[in-house]
Amino acid sequence: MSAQSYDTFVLAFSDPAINSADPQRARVDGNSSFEIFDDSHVQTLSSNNGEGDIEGLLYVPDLLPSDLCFHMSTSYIPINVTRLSDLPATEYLYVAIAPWISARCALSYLAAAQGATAFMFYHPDNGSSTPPPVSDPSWDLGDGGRWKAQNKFPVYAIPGLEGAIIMQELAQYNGNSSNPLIQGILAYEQFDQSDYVRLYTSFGTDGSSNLPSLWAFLLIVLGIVIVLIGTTSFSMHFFQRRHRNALRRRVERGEVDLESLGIKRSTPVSQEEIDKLPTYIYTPSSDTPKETTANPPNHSSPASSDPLPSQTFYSQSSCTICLEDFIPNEDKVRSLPCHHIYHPQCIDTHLSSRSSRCPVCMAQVLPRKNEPITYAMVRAERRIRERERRERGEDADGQWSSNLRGRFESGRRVFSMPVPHVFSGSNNEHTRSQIEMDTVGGGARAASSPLRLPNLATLEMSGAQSEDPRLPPANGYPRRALILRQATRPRPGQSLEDEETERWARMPTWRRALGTIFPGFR
Amino acid sequence: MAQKRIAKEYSELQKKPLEGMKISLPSEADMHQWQILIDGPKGSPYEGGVFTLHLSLPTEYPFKPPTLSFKTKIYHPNVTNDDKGSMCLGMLRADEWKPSSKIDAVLSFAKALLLEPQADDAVEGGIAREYKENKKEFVKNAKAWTKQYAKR
Repeated sequence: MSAQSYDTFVLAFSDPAINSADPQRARVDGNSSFEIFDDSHVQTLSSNNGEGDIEGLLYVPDLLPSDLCFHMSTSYIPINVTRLSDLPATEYLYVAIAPWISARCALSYLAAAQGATAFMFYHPDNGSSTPPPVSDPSWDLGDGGRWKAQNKFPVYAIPGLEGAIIMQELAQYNGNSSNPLIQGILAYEQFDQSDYVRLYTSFGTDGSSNLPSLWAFLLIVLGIVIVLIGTTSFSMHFFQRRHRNALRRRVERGEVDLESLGIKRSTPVSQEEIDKLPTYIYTPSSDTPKETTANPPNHSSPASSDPLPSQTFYSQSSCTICLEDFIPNEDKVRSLPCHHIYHPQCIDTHLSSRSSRCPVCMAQVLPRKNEPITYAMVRAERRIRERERRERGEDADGQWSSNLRGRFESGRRVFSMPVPHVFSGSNNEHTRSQIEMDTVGGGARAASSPLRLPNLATLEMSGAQSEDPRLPPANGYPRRALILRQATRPRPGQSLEDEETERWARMPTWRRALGTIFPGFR
Repeated sequence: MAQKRIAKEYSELQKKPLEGMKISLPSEADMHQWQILIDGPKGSPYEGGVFTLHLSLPTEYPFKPPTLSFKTKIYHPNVTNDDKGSMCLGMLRADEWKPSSKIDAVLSFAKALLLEPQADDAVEGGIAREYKENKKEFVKNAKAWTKQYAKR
């Protein structure tokens, strides 16, 4: 473990050889004796086995007098400096200290310090307050770092200045009570005069800040990755949400119908909802149609506050479900929000058993509010919209306001459809064909509400009728639209919502999590 | 309601038949099964042939779509090449069917499909590919089949 700090101080302690049952130790106040604490300049040369508390009595290892380094060290090491023989043989750990004179001498000292908990080196001729960094060549022992493994203790470097001071103090706080300094401390600390006073060093290796640099690097990278993922996820959520809210507003305004696009699954309408739709007695006159009493009076239907456009109302002379003509002043008719009218018995069956959409124009009958719209639906709707725009050769600029676009498109549809009598206006044309019914329906819808989808019903019909001599040949647009519509469908007989639900259920958990974090990810 | 509407549509089609089509009921007692003889449209590889189609109307008609199948073998991307001869028609799919759609529209659509197959929405992938990539070969095959199976 690498050290962040070290603390060298004076310790008074009883001789374990005499009093091992009740060891006494006292840290002598640094102000009245000596202490060095450095928490910013310790270098870790080797972190070998540096586990737990690294501390011990400080000493200088003995070199053999035959060793050349023995003589080289004499100028740096006072003669009466603390040696291993000056310390108690049991109970205590030891920390060795030596000047780093040369690589060879460092190896000699390391070899002589076997049994120590740690080794402290310092550059004796370096008066700076910071030891050279670990990568500095002055710490190189010329064996490619093998020495680190050979020594079973951690090796630290401290500033040269501090090392030199400690070395001097190591000679001061040594010996027995014949040394007046030792005697004074023992007396002051109320120790026996035969007890010890020595320098003690402990290394601060605590905290998470001393992680090896590789780990710190990995943590930083991890942090960056997490931040990146977080911001990406956040912005994806942000944009998807914005698109979704935009789509929701358009759905609520009736500009878009997700069910007719095959995006949402069709939901049958409850009888309660059906009963809320207004019914009238069919009258062929130009009078405003009267609501029947069958309509719940407490419910304010859109038609009661806003009378039907008579043009639309009377252009529908028969029920497109049973194909029977409405009998004037007798038949009850139910009007959908799109102003298409049917026999109640016909439309109710359709709404309650099949779909919530008008059989003619596919407009929604249920109020489109607070529906769940998923991100997948938003994407599908955008894809369809973009493809539609490409089909028509429009610029893919998306800068138009949807309002403007809606107006443009509904206008375009009414005036460019290859069916000539869109607003024929003749009220009681009994031979009116299904095709014309559809077209009138589409026209009326375009005029009354800016539903911007091409009336696919009309397209399909007129596409099919291109061979019909009664109608002019189609200009190709409806057929293209039909192909487009079919290509858009995820799978026949299935809405995108079903498809999504199925896909989601099949997905492994990690893909679901990924989809939740990155809503745009597919 | 189904009976009444089917009868009405049938009589309308008898009164004002679609060009190149003959509609009949194989069994007078069952209004739900129709037989249609359709002439191969002029200008298509099916010209000169006559195709027998079978239209089956469910009891829930018009709330559920009718099914249309070719009884005569036909070389076409949108008709299955088996003894069912099912036709792939967008508007006949359960979720796209609208009660306001009428049989004459369905039949007109079938005829239009003979004139212009929709290879992008095919049930016979091989024929669709041939139609898109080697139209000449497709026309040749379709003509041969018409000659062999749809002779009048």
